[in-house]
Amino acid sequence: MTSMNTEEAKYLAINPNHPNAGIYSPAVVFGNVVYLSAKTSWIAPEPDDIRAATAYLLDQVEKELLNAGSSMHKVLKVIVYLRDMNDYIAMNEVYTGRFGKNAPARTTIESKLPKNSIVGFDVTAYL
Amino acid sequence: MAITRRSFATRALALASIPVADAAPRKRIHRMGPATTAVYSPAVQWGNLLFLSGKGSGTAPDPTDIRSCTNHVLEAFAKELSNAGSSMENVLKVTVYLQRPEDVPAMNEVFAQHFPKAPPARTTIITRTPHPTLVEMDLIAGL
Repeated sequence: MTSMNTEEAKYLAINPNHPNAGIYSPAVVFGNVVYLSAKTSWIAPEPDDIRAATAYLLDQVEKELLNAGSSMHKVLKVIVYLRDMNDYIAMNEVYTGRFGKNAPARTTIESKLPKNSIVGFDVTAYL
Repeated sequence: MAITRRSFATRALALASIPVADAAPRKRIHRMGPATTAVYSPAVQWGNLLFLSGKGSGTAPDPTDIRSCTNHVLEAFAKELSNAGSSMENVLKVTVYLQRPEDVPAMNEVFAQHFPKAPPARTTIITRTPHPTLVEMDLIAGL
């Protein structure tokens, strides 16, 4: 029996020296699918402002997608993690329209996040 | 070179003969009614995969009963899947978001009834969702 001719995954990063390099990859491409690690707000310039953090993180998501050969309008699924569900409406204000006309599927949950981040975005897209 | 009607037709034919299978699949949105929000789409198809947005149990017949809630959410998914050309039998992965850990056994009972054969992969976590309900789920299915 021959082994499967499996395509190799690619491990990508807009910033290869990100603080958790060696622990996880910001973007993994397999076939036509790209999986992004969650972008969480401790990396944002204004980490405790939900609107500013959301805008910054979605810009980072976009850069990571473009670097992988994808784009915001090719996003299929997003999971939003909020430390406090009271930030839901403000997060939505900045989020809405950011992925183009056909918004991705999405689930939002409340969760404790690394370094006490207030918001995180976990994204799956195609190329 | 000037494009004559004939050369245009030849080029168009050459383009049309590119096998469709070579084209990367495009994202397609399925919804059962008019769009109720621009924030997210209820069902996103990509090739033979379907990504369904989270559904909560707020409109269950008894929103305080975990069995009623679980049944309601899974019935809603069955309709959404059917509308997109899939079915419960094609569900690959479910994530279950529960508000209370003590609801796991009763949720499991009802969940199992909806997936009598070859149940999907599943992860269950305890959390809160935007419009707090006893249970919310999202899933990925094949077509």
